[in-house]
Amino acid sequence: MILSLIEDRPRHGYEISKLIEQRSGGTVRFYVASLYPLLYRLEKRGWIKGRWVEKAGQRRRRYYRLTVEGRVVLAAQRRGWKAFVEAINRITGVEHA
Amino acid sequence: MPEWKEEIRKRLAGLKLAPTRESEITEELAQHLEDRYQELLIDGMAETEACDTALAELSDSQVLAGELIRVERMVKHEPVAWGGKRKEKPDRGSLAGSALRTSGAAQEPRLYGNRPHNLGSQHRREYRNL
Repeated sequence: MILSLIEDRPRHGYEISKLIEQRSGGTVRFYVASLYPLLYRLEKRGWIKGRWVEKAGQRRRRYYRLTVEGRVVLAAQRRGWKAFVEAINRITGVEHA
Repeated sequence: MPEWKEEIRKRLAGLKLAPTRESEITEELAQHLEDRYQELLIDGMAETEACDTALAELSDSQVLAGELIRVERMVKHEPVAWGGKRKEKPDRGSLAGSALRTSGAAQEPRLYGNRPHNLGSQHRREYRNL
């Protein structure tokens, strides 16, 4: 989920949390206590990379970007989720509804 | 402006993080709380209430401390081939279960907040990698 949100461009943690909340229609929320350990874990795995960025007139922020390895993992995750959803749909007969 | 860094340091106390690492984490989390606080003020919330609401993001401080310790002890950049074995000790659901907060009405995402006993090994991995 997080990997896909930084696929197109780097984002900082707050932006990531807001996107998750917005795109899930408020159903899913990450709080500080859980979001940042998760980001640090992904970074340790080498799937994302954080970097402090200072912009004029703004506080410096840590932006996370997807690494090459992260892109490979994201592609594999997408294939896995697609297969999973398709399997559930076949079981529940969604396509016949 | 609320003293976010002080509140965060209290919660990180005892983790024995390297000073530079602790400073980085404190700054990043403080920025998040400040962003949240400012957003709540813009939405019309009173300062005290906005402060309390932002701080509530740290209310699960045991989760924060526990997860940070676990992450900081990980070996940096373990190359993991998809489908390969990971050196890291399995953390089934520990973070994923606490990371997601779902509204009471929508229960579907809870699938990923509970241990997925019946999922295949690949999906168990995906669940951990949320």
